[in-house]
Amino acid sequence: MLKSMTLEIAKNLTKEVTFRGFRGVSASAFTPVAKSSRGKVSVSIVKSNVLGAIFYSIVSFSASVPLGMATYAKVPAPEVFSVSLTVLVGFAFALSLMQVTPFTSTFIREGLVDLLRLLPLTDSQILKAYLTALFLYWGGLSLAFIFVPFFIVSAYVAIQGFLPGTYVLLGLLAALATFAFSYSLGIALGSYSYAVRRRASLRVASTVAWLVSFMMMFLLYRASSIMMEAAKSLEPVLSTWGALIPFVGPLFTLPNPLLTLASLGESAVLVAVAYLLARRRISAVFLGGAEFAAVKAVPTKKVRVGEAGLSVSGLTWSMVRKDLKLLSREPRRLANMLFLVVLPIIMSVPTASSSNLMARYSTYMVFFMASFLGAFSGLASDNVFYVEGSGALLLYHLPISKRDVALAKALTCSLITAPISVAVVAGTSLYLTGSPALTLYAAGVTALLNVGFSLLNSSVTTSMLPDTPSEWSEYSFRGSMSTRFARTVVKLTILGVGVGVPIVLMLLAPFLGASLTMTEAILTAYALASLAAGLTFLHVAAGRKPL
Amino acid sequence: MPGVEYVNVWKYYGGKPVVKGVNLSVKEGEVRVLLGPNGSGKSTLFKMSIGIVRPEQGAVKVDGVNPAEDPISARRIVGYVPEDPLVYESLEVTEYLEFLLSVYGVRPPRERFAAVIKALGLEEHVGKLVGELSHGNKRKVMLAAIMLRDPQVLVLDEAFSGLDVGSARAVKTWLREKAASGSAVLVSTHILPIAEAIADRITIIYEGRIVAEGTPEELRSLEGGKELEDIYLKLTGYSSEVEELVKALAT
Repeated sequence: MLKSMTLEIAKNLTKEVTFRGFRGVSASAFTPVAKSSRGKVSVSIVKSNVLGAIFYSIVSFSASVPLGMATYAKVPAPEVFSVSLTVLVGFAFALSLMQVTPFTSTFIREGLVDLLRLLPLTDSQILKAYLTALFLYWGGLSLAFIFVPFFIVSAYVAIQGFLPGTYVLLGLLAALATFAFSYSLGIALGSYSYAVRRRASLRVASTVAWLVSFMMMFLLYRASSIMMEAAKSLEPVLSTWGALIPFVGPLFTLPNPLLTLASLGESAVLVAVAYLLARRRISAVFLGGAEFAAVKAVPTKKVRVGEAGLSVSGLTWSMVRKDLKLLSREPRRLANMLFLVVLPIIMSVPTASSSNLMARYSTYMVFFMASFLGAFSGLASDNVFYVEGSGALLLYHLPISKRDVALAKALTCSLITAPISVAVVAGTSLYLTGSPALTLYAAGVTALLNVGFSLLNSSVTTSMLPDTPSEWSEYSFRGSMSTRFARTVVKLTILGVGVGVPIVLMLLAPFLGASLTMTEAILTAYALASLAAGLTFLHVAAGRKPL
Repeated sequence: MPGVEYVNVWKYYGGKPVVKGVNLSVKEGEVRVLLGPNGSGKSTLFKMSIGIVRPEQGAVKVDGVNPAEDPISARRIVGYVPEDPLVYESLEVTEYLEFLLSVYGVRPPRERFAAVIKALGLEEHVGKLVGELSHGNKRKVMLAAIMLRDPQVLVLDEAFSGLDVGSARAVKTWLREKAASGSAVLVSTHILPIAEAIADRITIIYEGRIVAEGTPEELRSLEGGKELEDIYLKLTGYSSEVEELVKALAT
């Protein structure tokens, strides 16, 4: 009876968190529970975990392939095991945080904890329902599959005599400690969601943490090789200082029992601290009433009404200012947006700075980076729409046109993304060519492309928004299947042009015998064309129609 | 020219009529209170005033502007407060007000801002995030925006819902004064004493149709001087049978 009640509450809790998460500003692509196009949320233990389990198993199996090779090739199994496990531990840590933190944040911020407290439930029943929701219905089970195939392969390699059993045992401990640590930390961080909106320092920290998590996910495919290289060059350091690496440290210091013990102790302390922090937050926020804890934790800004006036600005700037404030208070959205700026940077800067390239193609490389970073970062404007969440309902009641919305969103996007892209391009240009004139030109092209693609993308997104008052999230696009398909094609075309043209242009230009002047002219034309296309779409796709 | 005018307005949801041939006009200088049970079509009518909902038949005009044809102009004219607060939870109260006033291009003097905040009892809340406020205070913030904007046509859905006694008094006084200065005021409420206190005319709507209209005195005289509540209940389907059922539930 009690068991089924806990499961029932946990299931409905998950539904509610999913619904409110998608509705509100905390929507993210990382929610393990899907919402149908009709807005229905269907939750079951299998549905919530099966896709994750398959995906993580593939990742885990891929990471264990080099280890499996130890049975027939001359591969040092302990080193490979340690490095692969370190990658998986990092992956598990990032993913656990990305699952637990938003769930807890929505749970508290949306007052769901207060709803549960209205029911005749004891504190431990509430806690049990919350944890059940997290582990069973929010994809917690699937996370275990990050390690399952890896440890199966490890056990096989150990049985074959290529890997000492101690490694497998310490690896298992590391995996368990990682989950204990990241779950506890995720609960504690999620419980501070009220404070995050209020305190600038926490917002910055949270944005950076999300950005790092997104980057870790992206870099996963390269993580093993990077780690392997790093492990080789850092071998002497790792055997001593490696003890400091949480959870996996003992694997690097195994021959030295004292260091291994110290490393194990450090991991135990980390887990204990995170656990105690989570317990403190649970008893303060979950069981002491969220409102009470929130009021206690978040000092209210004092405003003296008689002295303070209201700062009223023009329509577009007021919308931009509002969007900047919303983004600054939603770290995950902001991180999502910044990731689209960072992504082309981490994709292109290593190539640009490679010594082979510098000599011959440095100028072409600068042109490529200017066009690639400029266009790609302009595509981040969708996040400025999604940050509206339920607040978008208000916009439908205001005397504003679709064009006003598209313009404001594009400007917000450019204000955030263009300075970063321009700075990176300018820095790389100066490093590669040392020419201030070329750097100025590249910076200008980057800025033009950023604004052009931002306008283009915002206008298309605005034309896809629901006609009737709606909340805005990734699920807000209206229309029939065919309309949605057509618009997806338009979006992908913009993406393809934005990313593909610069690549083709700059990679082929030197081989086709195009002079620098000609390439410069083509690039200028491309940048101006993108701006013209952006402005045209702003007038045609967004238009003067009311929202 | 009336401030708000509905002429033979029909609206259907899923083929079912929810507003059935409503004719209603609110003149400048008049407070009109719309009474009706939940789901009787009040909110739908109110939404038509800013063009969020379009009538299938008939026409709506606000100060001569048809909101279905020119919603942007209608939204500039009308001060509309919906039943549920429409807010940005992550903005501070002042930031939210600044945003709304910027959209309308209104710069209220500092003294007016202070007076509105004081009148609605929001002094302690202006530095908070809107999301940290109670439902009632969120509604007050929306009302504050309208009071600061000071439009000539007011359409307030469930204007007094969630307000404390002091704020309700402030809003009542403000609405009466607005009408006295020539504004057209259309308000819905479920609180009948407030309706009687502020209304120049009351319209009772039931199942999408207007079933009674007149000054509070005229309505009372319909049933030989009975209370407005009795008249309202009789016109909106609350029968003695329902009364008996409710009594049975309690025992």
